[in-house]
Amino acid sequence: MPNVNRKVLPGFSLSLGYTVFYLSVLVLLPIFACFSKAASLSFDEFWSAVWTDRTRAAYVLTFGTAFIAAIVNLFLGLLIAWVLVRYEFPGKRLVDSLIDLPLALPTAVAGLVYASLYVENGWLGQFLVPLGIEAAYTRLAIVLVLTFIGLPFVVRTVQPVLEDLDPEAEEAAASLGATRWQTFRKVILPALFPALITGFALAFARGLGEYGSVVFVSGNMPYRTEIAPVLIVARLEEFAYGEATAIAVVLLVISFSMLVVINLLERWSKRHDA
Amino acid sequence: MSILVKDVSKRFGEHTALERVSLEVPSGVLVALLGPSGSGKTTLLRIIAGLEVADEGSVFLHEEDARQLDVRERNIGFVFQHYALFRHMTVHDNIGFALKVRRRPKQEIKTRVRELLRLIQLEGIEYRYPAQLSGGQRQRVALARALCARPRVLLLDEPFGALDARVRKELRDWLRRLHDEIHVTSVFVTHDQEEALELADRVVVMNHARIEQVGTPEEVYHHPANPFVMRFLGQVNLFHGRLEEGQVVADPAGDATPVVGYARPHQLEISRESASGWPARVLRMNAAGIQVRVDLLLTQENRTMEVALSQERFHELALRAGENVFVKPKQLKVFAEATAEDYVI
Repeated sequence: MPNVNRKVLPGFSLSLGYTVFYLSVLVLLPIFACFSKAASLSFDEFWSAVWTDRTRAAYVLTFGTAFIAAIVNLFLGLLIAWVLVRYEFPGKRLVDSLIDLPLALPTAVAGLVYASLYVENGWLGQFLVPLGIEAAYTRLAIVLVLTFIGLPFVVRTVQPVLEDLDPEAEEAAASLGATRWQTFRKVILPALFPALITGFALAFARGLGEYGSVVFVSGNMPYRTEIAPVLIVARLEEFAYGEATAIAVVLLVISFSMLVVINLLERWSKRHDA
Repeated sequence: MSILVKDVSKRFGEHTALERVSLEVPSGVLVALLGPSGSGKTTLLRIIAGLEVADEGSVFLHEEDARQLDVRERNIGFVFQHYALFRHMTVHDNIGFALKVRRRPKQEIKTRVRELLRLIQLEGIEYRYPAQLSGGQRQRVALARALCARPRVLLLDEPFGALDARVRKELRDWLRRLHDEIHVTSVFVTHDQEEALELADRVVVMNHARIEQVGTPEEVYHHPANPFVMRFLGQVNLFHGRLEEGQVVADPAGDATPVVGYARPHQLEISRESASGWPARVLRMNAAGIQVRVDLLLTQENRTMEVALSQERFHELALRAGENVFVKPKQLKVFAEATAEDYVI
């Protein structure tokens, strides 16, 4: 009997099989290994590894700086995407390709460059330090470098949506008496909202996992500028693998639940698409 | 006078969209801007709205010079071809938008939206999103949204262009009734002559950035100002002949003034006698309809011609495909040869 349910594009089971296989090997298996390693500790050992003053300070710093950097990128990214889509100016293509640079640059290089810029006799530091703005080896440095690392995400998610916006909707708003600001706030921004959330989530997630650049700019002072990934490396150097993975598990669980929340928010913002 | 357009010209680079166009629209009238694509009708509408700025000339809305006024200050209602509804807003918020940006109290907006929903006969869909509506419903919501702030003029750009034939016909009748009810001065753009003739009080026929004729549907249909209007307003047949003593005759060899005559399909008569008719051969016939459509081939000029016969006459004649007959116009519209170009529609 012929298969009446077949689709125009074949290969559903094949492609789904590959997807599940890759996800298992590349994502689920390492995560499972991480959890099972952490499970080798007793509960008390686990708890004392993940819940000390030092680790708590590291969690707050990791999530706080990643969050602030993602917020900065939200506004900065929207602005850059807007300029790139709405205006014509010389060198536009160059600017457009510069946006992706943070993805290609080894992050350690970014960290080194930022650190050298903001130290007391660096190019920017020589002006900022006398003003009392210490950007090298402080929390501000972490935010700066995470903003750099996360820059492409909001720009690249918002840009195509902005390009596809119906110009008639804006004309309609104007014909109905809306000012430019009202048009932006009530018509354009809601249309960009799902893309903004996606970009924010990507930048935020990228910031959480960043290690290479932060390690150079932060100074890694316990309680002050030590992020959780640095703490994990510190534990590994003490050969305390169980404790290291325990901290990793905590990071993983918090990150995952935050991404779930952001995803729900994104879905809610798309509720009007039938 | 609700809308007064004076000597308006508009160019987009090398392309001239409007060339010294003037137009008067009296209050409370429903006007159609009719023309082929690229004739400048949408540009004219957008200039009246203030969405486009004229290079030269002026626009007055209710005796007020509109050149100083931005689109948001003109208080016009504009309905877009593809509705341009705000996708993330409910029907209620879409319709109430114009009042909301004017910071009117919530209760007032609610009352007005309910009033408009009754007007467009879509009560009970306030909290749906545009994506959940059909094309016809969306267009009516777009119209209600445009009417919300009681605009001085209503402008519609190809309002039924994106709808299928049946819905288009329904909405057309509905819009006519609506206009008779609220009497807001309205201008709509269309390339569909049937829509223009059926719906409008006045028809403005445009071609090549100019206005060809302005008149009631009867005037432009029965007394076209030139061959273009004649041809654009419906199926038309061309007769090349000569003017002899006030009569157009099929005499290619004569030395009287050559003329081109225009006749609509229903203005033609088919007979088997040769008396001053044009010889033709019957190609095919279609009797499915109010009238019978007969396609003929003019044997001298090797051109096809469309004739509309009544069912009675058709049975009386008992035509057969391939038969040789004579075709004669009962009425013929003649324009001097100099202006009778072959217009490409």
